[in-house]
Amino acid sequence: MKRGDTSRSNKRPSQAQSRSFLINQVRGQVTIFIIVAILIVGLALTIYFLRPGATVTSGFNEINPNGFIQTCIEGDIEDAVEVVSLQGGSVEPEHFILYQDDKITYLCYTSEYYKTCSVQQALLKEHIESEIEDEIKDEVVNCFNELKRNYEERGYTVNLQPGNVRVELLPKRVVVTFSHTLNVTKTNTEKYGDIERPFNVILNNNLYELVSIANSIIDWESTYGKAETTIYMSYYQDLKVEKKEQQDGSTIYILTDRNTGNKFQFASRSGALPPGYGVEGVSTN
Amino acid sequence: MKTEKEAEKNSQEIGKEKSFKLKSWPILILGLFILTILVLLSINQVSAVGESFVCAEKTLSGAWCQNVPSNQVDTRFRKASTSCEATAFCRMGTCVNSQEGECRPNVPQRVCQQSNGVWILGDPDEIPQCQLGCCLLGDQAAFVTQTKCKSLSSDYGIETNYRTDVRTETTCIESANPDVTGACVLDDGFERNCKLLTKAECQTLEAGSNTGNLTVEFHEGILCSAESLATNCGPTQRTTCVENKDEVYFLDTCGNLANIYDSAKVNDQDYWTDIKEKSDVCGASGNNAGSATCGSCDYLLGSICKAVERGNSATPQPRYGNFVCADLSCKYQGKDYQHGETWCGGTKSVNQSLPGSEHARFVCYNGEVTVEQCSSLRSEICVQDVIETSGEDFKTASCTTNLWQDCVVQDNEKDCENADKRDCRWLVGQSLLRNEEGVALVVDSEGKLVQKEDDDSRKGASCVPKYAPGFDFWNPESEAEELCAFASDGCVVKFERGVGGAIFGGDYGCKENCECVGLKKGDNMDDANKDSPWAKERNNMCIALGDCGNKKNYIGVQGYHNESVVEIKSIED
Repeated sequence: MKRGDTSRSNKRPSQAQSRSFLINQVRGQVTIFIIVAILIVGLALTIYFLRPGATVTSGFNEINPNGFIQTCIEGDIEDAVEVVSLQGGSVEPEHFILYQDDKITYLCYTSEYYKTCSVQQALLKEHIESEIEDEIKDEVVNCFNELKRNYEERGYTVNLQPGNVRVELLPKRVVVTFSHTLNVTKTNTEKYGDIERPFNVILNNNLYELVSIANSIIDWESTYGKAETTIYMSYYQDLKVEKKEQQDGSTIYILTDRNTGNKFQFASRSGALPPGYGVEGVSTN
Repeated sequence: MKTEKEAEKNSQEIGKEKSFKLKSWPILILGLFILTILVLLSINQVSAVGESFVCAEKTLSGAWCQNVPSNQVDTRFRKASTSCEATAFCRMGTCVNSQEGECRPNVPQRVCQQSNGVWILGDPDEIPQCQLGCCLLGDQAAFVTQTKCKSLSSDYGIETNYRTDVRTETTCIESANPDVTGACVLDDGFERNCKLLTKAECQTLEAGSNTGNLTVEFHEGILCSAESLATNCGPTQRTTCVENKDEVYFLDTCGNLANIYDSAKVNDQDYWTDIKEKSDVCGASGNNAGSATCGSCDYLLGSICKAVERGNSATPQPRYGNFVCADLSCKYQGKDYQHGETWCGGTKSVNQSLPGSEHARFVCYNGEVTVEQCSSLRSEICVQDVIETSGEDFKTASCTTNLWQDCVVQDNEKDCENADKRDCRWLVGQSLLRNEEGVALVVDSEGKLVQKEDDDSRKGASCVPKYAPGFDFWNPESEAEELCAFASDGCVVKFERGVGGAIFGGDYGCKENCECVGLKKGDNMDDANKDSPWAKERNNMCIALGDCGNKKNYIGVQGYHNESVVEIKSIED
């Protein structure tokens, strides 16, 4: 390198130097951004977990296995309840009508015109309970296995007896009870899953009330034809009943609890009127 | 145009009588066809012409126990060549849930068994397990079976109280009086605490107090804030809403409920002493919606207790507390409707019954308007009535069946416009009904259709739907064409020219039925007009029968069959 070049280089950096400088500067900025981002996330998490009433729900707690099960399965129960609520009580509807991309089960149906419908799901509450049970049972197995693994990782000897899953629709809540028993031994043996320390999850939901109204509407539809919505709204202040008439004579009923926003929707075809005199006889649905 | 060319060609033939024919249809056959269908419907016939109907235990679409064509049967299940009501597996009965004590009517036997229920032939009121009584659940009541009462009591965690002597639902609900409430004073020797409880709850508390120095007293009908009780509870300006109650209530310093909010009574010691009945407090006869001073809300009258945002001028601001009687009325398209009011509306052009238009019922509840579409193709119409009240009138509406089916066979005005039996109107002009020779009937002075006599100038009339029904004319199996054809008619107009005209090429003059082409007797054939008053009258009748004729739909789009409704053909004698 020539002197002159050197002197010149003292005054002004070479292209390679300036590129290197720029790259370093960019790297430095990126590092700062990453640090700031980590700090922000850390701060947010700290505020979240330290706020009054906050609990760390995702972790495993040796003395509260039911809390672990609740955290593990709650989301699946909520999803199952939502699916059956929007699909007329079934996870995989067999006889349904499509309404706004939802497959809505017919709970009362006749393919004929002028006739009242026949009930298609006799014991709706029990059917819904069984649908939710079926939908969550695989995840329940996974959750209990995960619970067992967590204990074993902490040096416990674990005896897990799998049991049944029971879903009950009750006033203002859905209760899921697991008859599994869990014995964990380290220095002492602790027993969980008995009457004193049962495994259960309680979900606040008004499905019980909405299903009762749905049953009443089905009784009306199967006896007289199309149900009158205002009677239900006059009796129950928090209830909204929507009736959506479809082209083929089917009716979608949407029951909503105005306070909680919980919904139950189902379909019925009763007292359908034909176009013209209706000599085609029946709907092909 | 084809018809004009033919007329031109035929006009070269001279000395012959010419006739023009508008459309020709077998009117009487159609009348008989419609009558036959009505008879078939009246005897509740299941099968359609040419199709074999069976009772399918399950259909291919997954429905249970349906009378369907045999090609819709799921062959993995049973079927019977009869109506489902006549089968053993699909007949209707009551499905009893013996665990819950519920009885579901109109359940096919197969459906009940599928759900592990007990199926019993008959209606619930004929079945001993389904007999109803009054189930008292706290301050509420339900008219249910005894087993259901036990199940409900268990669900709500309260003791079963079932009364078989209460025979009606109304009596049952009326008997749902809550236990008497009052001040339950707990005195531990240092302090007199108080809770507003029912007598039973207070007694439970008393029974549960095992500490020797705690005494429990119940003062029926007295509030905890009563000075005479000398408790540590006193009046406040705080208010609250209560679950399952409509009104805004005062709270005392211990958080107990007091009487209904009345700003004038906030410092009235008497109002803070006894429990007042709703009829004895402010604004007892109204709904007090938005009132700053009175919290006597009433859901059925259109108000309910709701929280307000302090300082928000858009919401009513109560003088004390943060709760008010919220107004449940609705505003829709610039008009006000009361809570519980229902009214008629529909799509555009529903009043003209244009194709695609549909009736709808609008419902105002809880400050929200919902729309309930009546059955499609105007097979249902919306009817509305007004209840006159001392204040604003209250509208009620409902979707009801459009009874148009037997309009066209009515032969007198009285029967036609009998609103109890059908939705029809008497259209004076031309008659759809004809005698055996095919001559249109005319109306006599009593509004009855009678035979036309010679030189009879009396007009005809037809009974047509008041609300023209819609037809599924796009469906290949639709009856639309046959039904609309009922208004089609052929009118033979005769023209002639004299011998001189035949020799020297003179004009044709109208001889018979000249009004069909807007002419008078003797008028020139060249002046024949397809848009004659006769043709217009006929077209109006056609349109009145349903989605017939050439017209625009409800959004103003012209029908695709864009030809004249009147066709002129020439025929030769």
